[in-house]
Amino acid sequence: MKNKYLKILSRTFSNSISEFFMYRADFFFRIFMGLLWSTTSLVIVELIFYHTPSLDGWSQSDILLLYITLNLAFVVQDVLTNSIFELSSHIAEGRFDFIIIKPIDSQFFAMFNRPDPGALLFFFTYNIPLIYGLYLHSDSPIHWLYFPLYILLILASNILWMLMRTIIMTLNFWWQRLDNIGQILNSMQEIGRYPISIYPRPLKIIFYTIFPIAFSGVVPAEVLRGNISWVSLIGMFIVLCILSLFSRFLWKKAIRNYTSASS
Amino acid sequence: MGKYLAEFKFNIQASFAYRGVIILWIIVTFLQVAVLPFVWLSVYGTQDSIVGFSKSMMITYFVLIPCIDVLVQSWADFEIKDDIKEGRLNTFLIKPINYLLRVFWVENGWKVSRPFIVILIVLLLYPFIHTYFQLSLHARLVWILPAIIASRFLNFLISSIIGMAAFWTVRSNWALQIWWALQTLAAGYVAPLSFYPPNIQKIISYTPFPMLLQTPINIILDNISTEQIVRQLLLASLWIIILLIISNFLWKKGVRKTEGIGM
Repeated sequence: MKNKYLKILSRTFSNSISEFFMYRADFFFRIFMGLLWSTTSLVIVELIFYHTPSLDGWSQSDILLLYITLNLAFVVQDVLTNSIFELSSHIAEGRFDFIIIKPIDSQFFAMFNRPDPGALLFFFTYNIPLIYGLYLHSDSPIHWLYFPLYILLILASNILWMLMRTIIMTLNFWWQRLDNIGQILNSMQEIGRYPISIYPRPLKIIFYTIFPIAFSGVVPAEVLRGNISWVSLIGMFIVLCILSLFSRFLWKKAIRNYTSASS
Repeated sequence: MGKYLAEFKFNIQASFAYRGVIILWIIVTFLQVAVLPFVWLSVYGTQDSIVGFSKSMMITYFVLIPCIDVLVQSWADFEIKDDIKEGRLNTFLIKPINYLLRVFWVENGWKVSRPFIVILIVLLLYPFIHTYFQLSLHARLVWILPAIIASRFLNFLISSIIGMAAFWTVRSNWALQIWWALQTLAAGYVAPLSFYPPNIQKIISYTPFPMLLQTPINIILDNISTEQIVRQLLLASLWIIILLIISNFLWKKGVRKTEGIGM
């Protein structure tokens, strides 16, 4: 059983790699995009720190670390679960029928049927200038001792966002034409680029619960800054459990209510 | 003109038809508006003002961004790019209408519902920002209408020129990405332009960017002299003429080149 899913995952991934190399222009486009947005991010951070030496106790290098951490928290899901964004058009145009009739878990297939290896290229070209910026502004020590825990939290963050992405996209079963629903994730990513402590209390609660962006950026970055909060780590584990159960529950409910657009 | 008004009316109705899209738009805008005011409040710390911008002005500035943006922003690039790539453009070319004028009025139709949503978002944010929110009636407000009209034309012309890149290249997303990055940095979405170093401000002042967002907001905030407003409007008029010439030239060249994919 497990083998079947791993086999499908490896087959879809190798297909996507072949597809990616078919379009050479795409290769250069991703590099260009990565460098463009990396430059934009560096200019924004420079502009903020042009007017202050610290942002609520976070130095310029801490903020760059936060940017990089958040990118790491999204990379695995950007590569693996890109196909979930096609769910809206699949449902609206009746193509979801071809997913639901396959002898495989429909949620798994909707999430992993078309990985995007090009996202890795974007990831590297986006982050290398940020890492260089971090090196140039190394004004706060990084606690490398906690690096294994940091990596563990990054993996957990990726799962968390994979689930959030699925939950949000599942809403397409009830509401039509939510083509730009992925924008919510982009906006949340924007919020996570800055310390959660700068937001008012009600927003902080939202960012730790309903839109748990805090667990993907601030919590892992704090670990590398040497500030481990066990409450946050336990909170992340609880949020992850709740989201796993809720994502599955919502998907099953959506599938039960699904009516084909083509028949 | 009647046929464009018919498109305008039809798209007003369409914009209210998809409730899911409206809810999504509220959430996305709320999340977007929630970030930068708090980042800058944190930058201010105990300072009352930075480069002549008080805390109140800064927060009001960020609240006004979605209010102005919703009226002037253009997504014509998407519409034009998709129409060219998917062959829908051909169906418009054989009709007795000006395609670009049609896109302009379709977009205006969608804009009618948006101010209501923005007002709702401002009301949602009000409890968090009311201590800093500050607006007043003043004589220079008479300039707001010409400023918004100029900004709307500039946004539409630039956006439609970018969309026309699809005549020459299958992957025209690079043009969009460059435009978004430039707009993010140079139009005042990250911070008022007076927060940039003086030499960068000087370069930006000769471009259409200040007029896209910053000038209408500065008029509302009464943070700009009448001479500066007149200078900005004259510069915007010059840019509109230049962009109209470029747009007409590209349109004629592009239509001659288009192969009618999808027919």
